[in-house]
Amino acid sequence: MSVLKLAPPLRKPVIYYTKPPNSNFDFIEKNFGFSPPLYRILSQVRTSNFSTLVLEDIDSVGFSQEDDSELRDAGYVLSTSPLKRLSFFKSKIRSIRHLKRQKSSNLLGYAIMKQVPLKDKSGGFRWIVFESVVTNSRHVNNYIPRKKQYAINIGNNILTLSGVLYCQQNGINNVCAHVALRTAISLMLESGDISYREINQILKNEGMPHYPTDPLARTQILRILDKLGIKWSKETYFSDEELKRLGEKGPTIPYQTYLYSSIESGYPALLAFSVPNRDEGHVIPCFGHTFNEDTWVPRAETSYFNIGKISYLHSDSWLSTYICHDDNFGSNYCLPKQYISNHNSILVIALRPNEISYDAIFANAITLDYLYTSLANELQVISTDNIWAKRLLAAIRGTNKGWFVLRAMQVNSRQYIQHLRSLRAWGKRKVKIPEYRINSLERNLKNDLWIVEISLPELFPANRRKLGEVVFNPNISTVTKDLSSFLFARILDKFYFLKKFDQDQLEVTKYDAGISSHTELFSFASLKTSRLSKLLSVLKERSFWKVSNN
Amino acid sequence: MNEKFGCPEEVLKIEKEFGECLDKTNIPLKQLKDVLAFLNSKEESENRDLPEMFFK
Repeated sequence: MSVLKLAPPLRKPVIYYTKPPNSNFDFIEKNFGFSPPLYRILSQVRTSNFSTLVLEDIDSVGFSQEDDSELRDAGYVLSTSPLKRLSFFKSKIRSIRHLKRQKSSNLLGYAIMKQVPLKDKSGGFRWIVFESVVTNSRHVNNYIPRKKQYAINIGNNILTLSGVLYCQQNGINNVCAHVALRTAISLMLESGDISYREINQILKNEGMPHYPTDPLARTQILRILDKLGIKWSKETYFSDEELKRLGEKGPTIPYQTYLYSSIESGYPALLAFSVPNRDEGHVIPCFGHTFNEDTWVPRAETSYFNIGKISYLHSDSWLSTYICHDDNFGSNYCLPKQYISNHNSILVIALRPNEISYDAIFANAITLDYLYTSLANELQVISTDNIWAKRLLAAIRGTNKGWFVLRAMQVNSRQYIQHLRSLRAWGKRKVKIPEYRINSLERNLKNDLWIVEISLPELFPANRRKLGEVVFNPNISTVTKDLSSFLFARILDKFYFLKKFDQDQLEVTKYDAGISSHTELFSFASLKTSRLSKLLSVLKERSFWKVSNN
Repeated sequence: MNEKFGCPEEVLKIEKEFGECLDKTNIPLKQLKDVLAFLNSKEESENRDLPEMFFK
């Protein structure tokens, strides 16, 4: 629960009309001096046609107050200026009374500005964006699988806003790794945020304290995640030059695959990279991507993902940029997929919830194994009657070998069941998976799942549809193939279950799945969220605010 | 995990509730060498002991 986001204004809010000829540059320079992240934030709301900016003074409470105490302990003198809360609205707000009647749907974002001491202890100050959330980009191709919903007090009117928390470092008790962690952790924790003091306290308790103005080490970042119960997979890519010096060979899996596999399932990843002529690198959080169905890349041979002699198209082939924050420059940037290359040393830390024992790359690899050794035989049987089985078979081991797409998604059972209920045959709204089958799955699937969706190029990007999926238990990982993690596959009109028949043989059992053609891909956006739970969360936030004012 | 069938218990429960199946076939239990080698190398690569990195 964020006290800072709900802090009441200290005095009457000031309302600015922002349409031309009013200038964002003038406003920022007059109030905050030079601030690249704030320029970026205001550019985002400008492109969303904002009409009103509300400026309020608020006390340094909650996470900001904790920050103050760490700065004071480090021997810094604090600014006496209150924090400034800026909020941005689509339509014109005429008065304070009108502000109090605003609905959340009119809110585009907010930013809390804080004046912090310069790290050289010269006695000077600068403004930073202590935190900010800006809602959706206007681009339909920008995809952020999971956002957090925040309650924010604007003129004593509590509004809600969904997005990904952005923060800027003060360079003293928090550096780029702290703020990148704060963003990433905010997407993983139920509470939706973590303070720098809590991060630094973990490090202190673990005997690896962070000293003011020092960088954070990789081991410190990983320890923080461990102590919070957040699982991760990491991979390190040294620059070509560094590899030569170390006598090492680089990993075979591109760093982009690690990043994507986390993001697509709705979990953030940290992308850390070396910076020329500097001893320390930089870290940014990545949490979304763009998807362009017209991209040329899948046509190029390099987009194949190879496991030995087996190849397939990874579903990130249609991705051209990652959506990320960079604390130095602002929020919700698009980072080109190939921009950070092996001229840099790169570290990717892909986050996932604690229940999961293996990542999407692992899930794709074992799917390939089941496809080639078990399920392709079944496709062979039905391919005489089903044209889509014939096409998929040709892509697995026929004339179009490797010309199929795998997309691994980590979902919970409830989301998967909801997805199954929503599936319909192409152009036939009445053709669906039998309800009694879905009910059986609903009664027996209780935990998180890996679903690896199988599709074909063109069907995947243009129609966003698939031929089926293989479903795994994500808590059991074994490199040696056994059936412990395999739950079942649903491909075209059949469910496939596998059991051991004897030492050397599997028994494949088939059940009717109702839809003999392709169906919709899984999408977090298409899942219905309970209106009641939304309402309850808002009410909870409101009652908390009242309590904090008593 | 069911010892006899080598698969998770919930799979057997789902199958029981699904009722009569369309068909059953037996196939040889195989593992692709390429996949096994890939998963082993992935695990080795992720567990490499590498020099520390710092970020600011």
